[in-house]
Amino acid sequence: MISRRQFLTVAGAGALGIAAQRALAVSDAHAPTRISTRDRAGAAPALAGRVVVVGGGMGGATAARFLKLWGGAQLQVILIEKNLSYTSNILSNLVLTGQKTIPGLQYTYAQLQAIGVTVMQGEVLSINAGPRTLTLAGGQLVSYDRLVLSPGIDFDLLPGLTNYDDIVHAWQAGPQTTRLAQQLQAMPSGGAFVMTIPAAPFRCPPGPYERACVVADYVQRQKPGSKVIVLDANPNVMAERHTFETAFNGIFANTIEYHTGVTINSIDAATRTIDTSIGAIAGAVLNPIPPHRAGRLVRDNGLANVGGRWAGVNVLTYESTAQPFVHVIGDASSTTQPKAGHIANAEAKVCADAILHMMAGEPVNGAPVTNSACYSPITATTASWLTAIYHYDPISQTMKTPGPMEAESPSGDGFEMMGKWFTNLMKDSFG
Amino acid sequence: MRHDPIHLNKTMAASLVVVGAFALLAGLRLSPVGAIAPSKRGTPSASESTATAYMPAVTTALQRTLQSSTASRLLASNCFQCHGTDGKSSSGIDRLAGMSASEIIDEMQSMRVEPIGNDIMKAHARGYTDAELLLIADYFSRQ
Repeated sequence: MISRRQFLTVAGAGALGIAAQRALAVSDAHAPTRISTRDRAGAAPALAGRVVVVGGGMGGATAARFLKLWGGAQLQVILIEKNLSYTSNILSNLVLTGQKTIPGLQYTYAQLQAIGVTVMQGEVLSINAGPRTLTLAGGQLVSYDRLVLSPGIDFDLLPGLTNYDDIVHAWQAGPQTTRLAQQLQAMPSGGAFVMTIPAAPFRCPPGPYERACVVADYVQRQKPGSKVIVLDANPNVMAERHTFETAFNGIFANTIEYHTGVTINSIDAATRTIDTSIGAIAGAVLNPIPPHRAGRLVRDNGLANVGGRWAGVNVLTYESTAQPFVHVIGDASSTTQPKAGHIANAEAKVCADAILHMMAGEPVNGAPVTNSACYSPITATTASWLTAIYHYDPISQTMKTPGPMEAESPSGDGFEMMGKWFTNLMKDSFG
Repeated sequence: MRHDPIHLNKTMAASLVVVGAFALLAGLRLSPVGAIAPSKRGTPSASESTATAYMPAVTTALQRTLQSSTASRLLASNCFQCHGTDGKSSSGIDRLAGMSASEIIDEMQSMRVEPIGNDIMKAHARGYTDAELLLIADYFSRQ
């Protein structure tokens, strides 16, 4: 057991101007004090205590931000993230076509700090559920009253490959995205860009089809005679089916070859060939998107209780069904909602609201609503959208939607709206 | 104390939120179909039939009793991603902060029955019940 008066040192935060070497008291960490007067700014009571958020992506940043905005000054909110900034996956397919850059998609945590979130650059090695502490890579212990994990996803290594250094998936925006853009730009006219799509669930359901479209649009303009060959493990397009099937069979009919139900046997990086259930397919550029699983923290700490890959959660609170006081949001959790940034933001708010009620000893909202919305570029100048609204269903105890709705057709107005949506979404998440 | 009937007291008990919602519905002369009789909503057009096939659980008596004091804020936070935190937009998307509740509700109810086309808001308008719209609109009117 840790001492209730234990102190820890927050280190390694200097580069961002994050709290420099600074001592954080861990006093009363497991006994949040309920203060009887109500917070003037909101209905929730002012709380004392500590919530630690691990992972500064769309879900984690939003959770930290709204815990602080809604929880008040006395609630200590710590965000632990290993990187100095977050690179948006949303719009990162436009890096492939040169319309966006990776630096242009990066967001720091400065605005979260400005509202009082303590941002620690570091890596969590393990969760010690009994004493409710985290062990960091430097050996420090950080205690929590409640823990929010938003670790995102990891990728399976596809057979035949030893890494994703040369053959890249670029499904986590960053250096791989830049590498794939370089490979695409170097592709000769008449070449084949071969991409694979894993069986659902995967991050950003429209994303692979969006990538096929923007790459096809790019090669039609820049690389005449080239093909985009899409090998989908699923039986059909998994999101925005009307939009993408119309595009595949219409403006990209001479460029995109779409194959369904394809399994990958192995990939030969040297010959740039994929051995599949429909034969060997070679390309000038290979872009396999591997199957995903929840981030390591979830898997290594007994939280991946759905198929060994994903974290089961109660969608009223996002508390793990395997471990109390630990909440899992975003792509790493298993719910009926898609794995995507916009809805991770919504899940984070439901989680933050629930945590504040739970710490106050109050019942949580029993009827949460979330929404998923996503604009997808189809060409360099047009975009479509997809949206779904989810309501809690007490019978199945899941979030239910009557079904997603999609734009009638890609449009220039949609492309413009995409930029405005992205601006506000990122500001709502990172401040 | 506030006297504008649109304003809900943030700290009122859960049951009073619902009572207030009904009062608002009456005051705005809206048909409280979403709040009282979700199964008797008007016949949906073909374009919205899917969206109305499932009526959200928020309208059931059980769920009403579970509405917490922050229900309005949490519901409204669904709009923040596109319209800015607390409706304070930073891009060309409409600012909702400070709009009157009746204006928000009128617009949403109009969009609900218009063809969706390429307007994402007409899709969103179909996704929330009248009772939810009241809570959302009340929240933004107070920002």
